[in-house]
Amino acid sequence: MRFFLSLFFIFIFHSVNSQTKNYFSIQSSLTKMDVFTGLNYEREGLKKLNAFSSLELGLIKTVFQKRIFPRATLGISYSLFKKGDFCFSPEISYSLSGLKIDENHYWNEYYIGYKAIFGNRIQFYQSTKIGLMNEVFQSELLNKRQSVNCFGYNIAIGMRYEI
Amino acid sequence: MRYKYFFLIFLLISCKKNKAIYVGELIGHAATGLKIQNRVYHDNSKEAVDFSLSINGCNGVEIDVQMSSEGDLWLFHDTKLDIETDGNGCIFDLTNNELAHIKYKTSNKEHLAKLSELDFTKFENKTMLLDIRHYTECQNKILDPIIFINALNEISGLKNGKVNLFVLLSNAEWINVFRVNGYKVLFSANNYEEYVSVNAFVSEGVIVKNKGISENEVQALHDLNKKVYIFDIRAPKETRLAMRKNPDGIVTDDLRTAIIEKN
Repeated sequence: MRFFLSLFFIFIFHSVNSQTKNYFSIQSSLTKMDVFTGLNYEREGLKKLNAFSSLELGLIKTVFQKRIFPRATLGISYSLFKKGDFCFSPEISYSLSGLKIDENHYWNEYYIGYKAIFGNRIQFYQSTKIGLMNEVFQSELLNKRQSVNCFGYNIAIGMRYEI
Repeated sequence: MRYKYFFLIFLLISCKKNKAIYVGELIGHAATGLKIQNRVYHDNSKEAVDFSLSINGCNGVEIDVQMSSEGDLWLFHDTKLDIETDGNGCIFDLTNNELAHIKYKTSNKEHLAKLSELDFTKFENKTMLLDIRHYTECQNKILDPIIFINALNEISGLKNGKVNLFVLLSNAEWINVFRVNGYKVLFSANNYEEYVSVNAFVSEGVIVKNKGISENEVQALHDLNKKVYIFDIRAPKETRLAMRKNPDGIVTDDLRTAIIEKN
């Protein structure tokens, strides 16, 4: 997580100039734990690298179970291929989400995948990422923090607007 | 204008939750749930059992057991191994040594687990529902209940009184065989009518599908001093519906959802 945070902020502070493009987007993503919906901010930076961050809420838990399930994501993508209104970018991301079940449960997600973007000023995108999902919670049996790992995924669609 | 959207979101989040008041047990179906996307470990694995028992709010697990060719009980749900493992055939056709090398086709590659390998000290004050899978598809044969009882009797720690153990049976003729050997039995039924029609009242109670029993029928069985466990529950709505029927236990495929609903 520290690695991701450092990389993200170094990137953001080194990319401030008048040519920098900024995007705001609204997105929905299907993950192992819930269907998340929220806002995403993306900043074009060094060479073909972009940094993005998002804040989302898990719809099933938040709306249907009235239990707030927030998720924050930081990531970096690289514009590998761009032709006309289409762009293909590999990306890596880190997400942290938390939910009070009986005790608090936290999920760390480390993903790698791609994002395919279509459009000009208003753009639509689809991204698919897979990787490690790590769940941390207070174990009733061990009476201490327990951490378990499993395969995780994130399939997202979104619409973004250049500001 | 813009406040309208904030108001809508506020309304969505703050509207009154139609919560069921439920005091019964929450049991993990096949430990962490059958065919559910948010499970961490494969159902009926040792890892899945340990994981479920370590979650605060989980009162126990339901697990499926099948017999090996050497007469030992192994945790496994499907009729054939090749569907979700790297093995072939049926549990009953393989030796303990062969079964010990079989792994699930998952990212964690959990090994098949022998019932005797579970740590029963973790079940203290917890409930264990043992679904006895007595049919072996490869040989198209129903196994003898006595060999299951012998296998259970050999497992130390299982009948120490600390584990709240119930045997789940779908064959009504077997109920008395298990009961006279000291096992508490729940009859596994699709619905209330099936439980009544097969004359399974000698059992301690029933485990029945959520759609197969009403609140009044649960109450009728409670009046007869029978325990009622309900299964086939995944979504929040199904969970609330099951909780309103006030059973003794809910056997859920999504423990996290059920714990949130109970709290």
